[in-house]
Amino acid sequence: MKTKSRAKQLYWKPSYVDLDAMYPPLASAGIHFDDWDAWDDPFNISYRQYIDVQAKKELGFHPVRDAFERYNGDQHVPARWYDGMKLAFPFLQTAEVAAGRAHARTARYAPAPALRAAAFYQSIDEMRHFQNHIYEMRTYNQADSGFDNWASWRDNHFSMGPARYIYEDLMNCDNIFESIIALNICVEVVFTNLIFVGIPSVGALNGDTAMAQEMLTTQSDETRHMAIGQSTLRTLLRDDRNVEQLQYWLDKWFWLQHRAVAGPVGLIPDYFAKRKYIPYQQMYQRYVIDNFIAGMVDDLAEFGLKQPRFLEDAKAELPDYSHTLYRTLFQYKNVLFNKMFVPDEHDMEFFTEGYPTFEANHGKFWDEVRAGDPKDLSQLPMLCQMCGMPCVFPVPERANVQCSMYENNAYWFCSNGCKYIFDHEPYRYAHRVTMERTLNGLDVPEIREKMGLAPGLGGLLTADKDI
Amino acid sequence: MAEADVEALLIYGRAPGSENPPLLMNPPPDWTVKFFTKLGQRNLNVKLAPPVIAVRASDGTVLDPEMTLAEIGMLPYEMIEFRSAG
Repeated sequence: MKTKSRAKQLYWKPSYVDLDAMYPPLASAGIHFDDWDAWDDPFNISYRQYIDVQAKKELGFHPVRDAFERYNGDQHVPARWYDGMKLAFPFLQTAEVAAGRAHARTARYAPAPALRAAAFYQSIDEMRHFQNHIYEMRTYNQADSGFDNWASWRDNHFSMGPARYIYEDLMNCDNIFESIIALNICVEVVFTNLIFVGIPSVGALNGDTAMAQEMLTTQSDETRHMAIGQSTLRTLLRDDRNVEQLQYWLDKWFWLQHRAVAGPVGLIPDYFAKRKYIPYQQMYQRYVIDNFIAGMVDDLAEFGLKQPRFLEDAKAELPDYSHTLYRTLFQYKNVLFNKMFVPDEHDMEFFTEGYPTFEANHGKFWDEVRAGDPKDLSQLPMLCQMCGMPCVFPVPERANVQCSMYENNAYWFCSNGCKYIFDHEPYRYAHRVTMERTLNGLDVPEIREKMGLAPGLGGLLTADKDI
Repeated sequence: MAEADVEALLIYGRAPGSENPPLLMNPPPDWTVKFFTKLGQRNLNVKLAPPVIAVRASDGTVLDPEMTLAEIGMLPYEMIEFRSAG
């Protein structure tokens, strides 16, 4: 009995090196907790149990994908959907790879043994996710061109800049607790229901049953990931000295994830879905505001935690976010790897009904496009030093462009939230060189060449397809 | 706009109210503010109602149209906003 009990423990005291050499305090600097060994992992499963469960999940996904391929499922999917997925999947890949690596670091360096074990499983989960995303792109590539070069888009294309900025930063946080708040709270708890539950509903409606199943099998791991975040946050909030730091991380990463996730995701239900579900703004309200704010943040108020600092800013720009981003991408359609399209009558009706300010803020732009103005721009827009998004929000005509001076240089931001983060940690973010600067002076053919765009990629969807 | 080279400045231009985002421009330092205001609007694909003023975006200073860009001392990657003063 004693042997079994010892074997089940997750922690062994090192005898050849100091504990601080094995688990450097830098990885949890500034975070206070008395007894790391007493940390509780609510799942606490064995590796064997974990593998058994995950194998069953895989068996639930691949037959659906196989059937989709075998019975020409792609014939029921509108062409525009694939172009949305071209943007979505390289973006998702960046997030999944970063999440896997961030948790591999947590599994190695976390001071709490139970947290190391839980992070180890999550790291493997993320590998499963990004492998399945690749399977999914392989399926798509049989129906539409452009998916085969996804790794190049992910690593090099300017439109994937926000994903690279935010997720590479996330996986390189010095403090593993910052990466847990960023990932397990601000991604998993806040946004994954939106991405992996809301978006599959839209996918299924548009005939993409393989993607819907892939997203759902991904989401099935998120419950465990959310539990890691919630138990970490609740445990650390018990010590008053941690509250200020945790609040800053919550404020920071909520805003960055709103920027990085809300934008690309919003394009799918509002634009790249021909058959509409509900306006993105309503999805955000349901999955983010009602689930996360009302379900978790309000519960933690007794520990001194407040709502994310820029929550109201996020809510205020929702009526315009997807429309502004789509318009901006439309202006750069000749240097994208996906194709864009002019919204049709059905789209405009959906926008006007779902977004009361759409006509006033965006109607003129599309009227002029229909009258023959291509709206193309030959130079990349100013990109935010913090998140990499174009500085065009909430609407291009009234863009909230912010500036900070640091070491005699000017830095520009798309929002109050991004400026706030930079002003707190300028030494961490001043070194970035945004891509409109590296591509400055190049014309469209030169930018296409730099981005590795083969002929036929980008531009407009043609009318010979079911757009 | 001038081709990018070591002589050119790197300045963002923007016209609030325009549907286009701020763009990075490469004017030579000997251009006057007035000339840059004219060319900058063209680059942004916008034509503002005259008179048009140029404003240093970081502090709101209205720039003297007769001064050269070198004389006003713009830092790299500062931004000039073009606004209709009418």
